[in-house]
Amino acid sequence: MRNKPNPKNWTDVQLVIAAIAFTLTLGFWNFFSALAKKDIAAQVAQATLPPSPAPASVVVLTPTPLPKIKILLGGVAPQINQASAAQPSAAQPAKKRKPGGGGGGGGGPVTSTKSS
Amino acid sequence: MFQRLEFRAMGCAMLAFIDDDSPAALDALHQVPDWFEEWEQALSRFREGSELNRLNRLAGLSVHVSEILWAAFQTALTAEQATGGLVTPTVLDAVVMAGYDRPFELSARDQIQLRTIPKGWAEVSPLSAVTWDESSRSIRLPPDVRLDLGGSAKGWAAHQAAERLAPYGSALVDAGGDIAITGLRADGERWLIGISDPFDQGADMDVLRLGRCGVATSGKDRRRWLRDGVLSHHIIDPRTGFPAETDVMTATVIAPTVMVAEAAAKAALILGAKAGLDWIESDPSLSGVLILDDGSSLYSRGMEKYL
Repeated sequence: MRNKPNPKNWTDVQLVIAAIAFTLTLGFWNFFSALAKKDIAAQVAQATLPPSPAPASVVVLTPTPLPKIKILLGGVAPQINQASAAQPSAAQPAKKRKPGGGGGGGGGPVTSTKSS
Repeated sequence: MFQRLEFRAMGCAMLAFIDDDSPAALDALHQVPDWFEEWEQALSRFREGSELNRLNRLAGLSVHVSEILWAAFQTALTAEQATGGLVTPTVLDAVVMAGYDRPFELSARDQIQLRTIPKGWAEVSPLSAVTWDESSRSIRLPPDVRLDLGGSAKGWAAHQAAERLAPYGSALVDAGGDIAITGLRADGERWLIGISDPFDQGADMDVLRLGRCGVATSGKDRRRWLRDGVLSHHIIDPRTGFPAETDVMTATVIAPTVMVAEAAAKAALILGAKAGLDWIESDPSLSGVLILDDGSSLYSRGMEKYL
């Protein structure tokens, strides 16, 4: 007469529980891992997408208002200088004088007559 | 203490002095460039829209002109009468034929432009060919006559500016070498004015001591160009229609007004050394010095009181 099969012992129960837990762990791992991968892919795709074209807008050109000053073309802007009549400007070029023809009155000539 | 203003107008460096440092004098001095701008717009032949160019384009018709153009025209008329026709504004076609058909860039060191100039000649009509009516302030040019007021306009403008500044103090206006002086300086001294050396740019041959008067220099040392390998210049002899053949390099004249001085200097240059000096001395109100091609100088008898 054959022996009655042994009932599952506690060890078998533990193995079953462990297998189920292991399986669930792997399953959830993969599940959440897949979700995370989707988010990263979406972020990467958004970063590499070309910028969306700006909505067309109508630009109205208006003339730039001219400054309320006088613009002088072709030369240096007028400069007001104060000078002492007795002291010629330092920028005055060296003048040669005709012997005997003194300037008198102190200082040098304020300007020169020349052909124009 | 005087105020000094530099600016550019009419193709030249301009200089204005007023021997007073009050705010009113300074304000008046600030207005001088605007005055010149207004005058240049009316009188320049190099501005397409100038009133002078409009008058020239309407040759053959009687044209009502502004007070500015009328005054400058009358100044040119006086100059022609005083010089026996040697100085006239009817030389425009002749001076253009000679090659002076565009503004000179004064920044060029030697004032010489090398160009190919077409051969040509234009007869110079006397100003008497022009008719005018003072009551309607109108001018009618003959169809073949065009005016160039460039020579006389600078002197006229210098005189006008100086007279406008005069109420604020003793004034001096230098329009590219044509100088108007309204009186002695505030300290009672005379103004010192150099006579530029045509052979040494930046140096003076003499220094003049001047009170109320005008002084101007005409010369062939500037605004000149090569034509067929020959140096040409802008001073036209109306008797020939060509640039004046003269042994005078520059002529400087002192006169009661700068307009008279400018016309007299040009006439003396065209006439040449001997005739030019005789012509200056024939008028006691004129004094002058001629610097000749060889570098020598001829002084009129009246010059000693200014040296």
